[in-house]
Amino acid sequence: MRVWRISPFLIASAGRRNLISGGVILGIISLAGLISFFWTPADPTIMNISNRMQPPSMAAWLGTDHFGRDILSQIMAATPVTLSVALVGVMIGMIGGIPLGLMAALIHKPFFDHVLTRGGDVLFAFPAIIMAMLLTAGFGAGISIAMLAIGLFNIPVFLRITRAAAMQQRHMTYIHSARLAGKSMPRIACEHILPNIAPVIILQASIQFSLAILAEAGLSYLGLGAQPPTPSWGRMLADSQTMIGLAPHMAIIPGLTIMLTVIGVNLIGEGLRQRLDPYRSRQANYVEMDIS
Amino acid sequence: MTRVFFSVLSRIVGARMIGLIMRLMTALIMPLIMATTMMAAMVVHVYAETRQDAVIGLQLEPPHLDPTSAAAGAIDQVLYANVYEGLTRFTENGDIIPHLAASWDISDEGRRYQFTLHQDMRFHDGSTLDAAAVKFSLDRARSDTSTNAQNALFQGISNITVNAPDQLTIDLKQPDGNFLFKLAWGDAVIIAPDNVDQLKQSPIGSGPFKLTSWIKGDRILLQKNPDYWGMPVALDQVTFRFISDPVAAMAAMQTGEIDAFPVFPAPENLAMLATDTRLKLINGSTEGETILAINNARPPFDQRSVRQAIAMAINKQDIIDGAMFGYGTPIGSHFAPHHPDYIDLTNAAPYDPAVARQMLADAGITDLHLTISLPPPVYARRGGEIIMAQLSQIGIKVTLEPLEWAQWLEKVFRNKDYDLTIVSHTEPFDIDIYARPDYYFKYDNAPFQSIMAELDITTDPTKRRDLLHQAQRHIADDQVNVYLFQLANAGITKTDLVGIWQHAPTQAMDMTGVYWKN
Repeated sequence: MRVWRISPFLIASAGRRNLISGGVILGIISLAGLISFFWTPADPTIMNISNRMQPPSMAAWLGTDHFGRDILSQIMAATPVTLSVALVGVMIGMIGGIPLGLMAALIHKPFFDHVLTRGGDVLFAFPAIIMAMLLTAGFGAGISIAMLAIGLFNIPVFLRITRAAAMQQRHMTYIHSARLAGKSMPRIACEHILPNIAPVIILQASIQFSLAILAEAGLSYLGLGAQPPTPSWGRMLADSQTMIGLAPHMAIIPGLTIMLTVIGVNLIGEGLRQRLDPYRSRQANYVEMDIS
Repeated sequence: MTRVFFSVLSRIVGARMIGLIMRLMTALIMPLIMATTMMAAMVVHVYAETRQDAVIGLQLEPPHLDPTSAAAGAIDQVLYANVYEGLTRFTENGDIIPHLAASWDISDEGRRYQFTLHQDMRFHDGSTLDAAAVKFSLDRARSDTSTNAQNALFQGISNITVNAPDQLTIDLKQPDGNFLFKLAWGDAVIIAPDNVDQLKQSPIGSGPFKLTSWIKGDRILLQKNPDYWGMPVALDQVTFRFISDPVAAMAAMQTGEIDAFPVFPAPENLAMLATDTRLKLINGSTEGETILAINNARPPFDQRSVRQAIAMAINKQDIIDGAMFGYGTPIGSHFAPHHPDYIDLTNAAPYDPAVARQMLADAGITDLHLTISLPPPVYARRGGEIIMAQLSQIGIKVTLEPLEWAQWLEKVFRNKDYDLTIVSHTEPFDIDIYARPDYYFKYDNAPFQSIMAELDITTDPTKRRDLLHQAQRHIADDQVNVYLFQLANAGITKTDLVGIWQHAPTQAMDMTGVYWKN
């Protein structure tokens, strides 16, 4: 057993590599989404039944679906929907979960802490899909319901991570000195604890973002997300389900798009982790390798 | 290698010993080989013997098993002709033939029907099926407290008299040219009088099959009735399996788990499945007029020009191709194209979005926003998306509302709370629903009601034909609904399974004539 010391530069560059490749992938996809507001190769909602299920060609670069709609245009037009649902979902989780997590960690009342964390557990017991089904039964399906469902699911996630990280900071000497200096607890939470636990939260946010993209696709697949004629990756997959044998591109293209987007987000998350992980930075950037 | 082995062996144990061992082995192994061969032959023999059972795939599971109290077609699909029988019955081609009734005489200018029943008929519980049981069933169906979904079928009956155990007289209020047809419906079957309380769970009929078990959510098993009064059936057992997921249905057909899927949930895969030589396509007609039903009572759809505009904005062939992959025939009225009295009215509202847009503008309608309620079948869900795109071409904004069947029946069919909906009316010869003012499309039109009233009392074939033409034209001109297409009976069956109905003149999966070739 030998301990190899790897130069901090290498670690940093590995992180940078991930950040760059993830950024490029997500950048291209977001750019396609942005462009779709002004231009798509064809109108994504226009049907041309006689021209249905065409494989990719010069006329339709990614082929056409079972109604003869252009698949590339649909993929492009669906991008802002998916990304915004995922983004808003994670934001709701952060806005709801972080303050609650801070309160659970910093208010010295075990009862209060228990109520918050157990409450979070109860919420956590419902996956986003079940949550969306409950909400849909009450309010009907749609993009905002999908956002809400994913957001509600994310609240306990951020509650937990914030609480755990803030608990570690609570007994640090700098917190004690801040209290001696007469700062109020909410102020300490915002000015001292939050900046110190930010890396953990940002990491979690990137993980939750990629999960939210998958959740959005899953919800649309079940018909609980974006409603027709708004294109959506998940519904494109659902529509192609029985046509895999006839027109495989109808399933492969939206499937690949979802996969690439999630990989892009995960690469960025991994890159951020390598840069921001407090554990790693304290470990002075060496990696233990067993070569015996 | 063997030689080396034996030479080494012989040096150890001696040649004579080897010979002994070899003989011993032969004596032991030979019978073993022979036994295995024989067993294999037996297995092959059993395998080659004709199968006595069939597994049929159905999309929908019945909610319960009482055909006399619900409109759900899934009940009749399982029970009609298999478990329950009526005085007359439908054949595959839609003809009406005698069934429990051996013969009949019509007298009093078509007002009196005298039926003679077959002898020695029994229900599955052993009780006798005689004229009294027939009277009981029909009286129950026509009574004021009847829960029969097709109560109207029996309203023409004024009196039923039992003359002898096998003799029965039915008197009608007016002559009815369609009376024998009405008696063939799944709602007019004869039930065992003692079993009335348990109809929903344990059906006791007189058919060639009886129910053995119902595993809810999965399958219903029917067993051959050994004491059947009529011609015995070929199959010993029939299993109905309920698979609504198109991908699962496809897999079940490909693995051979299911022998026939007469109404296949994914028409796009039929052509591909049919390339398998073990399978063959079923492509026949049904009584299913698939319509875009319009709530005629709700403004602005109470205006004929608005309904006409909607109809002219819709390209029917696109819906047949896009939703059903070509299976279906365009229609222009609520009438089946294979019916002898059908007239082609598909040009009553020709596809012309420009004219449709103008009509809408002339009617003073701007910014029309409507909701289409969609039950689960593929014709509705996919058809809805296509109609949404077509209506957007003339400036109508559409919201799609996907519903489960129970929700649809509650919201659309019972409470009439909808704008537009897509549904297939699979009852045979059901143009009379347009004469019911409280039916879910809320069409209250006196001239049409009088045509139907006249048709009811007309028995002369030429006059009937004339009235039927009038009726078709009337609802086409009035554009009550948008008549989309006649649903095809598109499914798939194993090549060796013979006798599955090609057409669907009523909701039935008649297994009485089904058998395996060799």
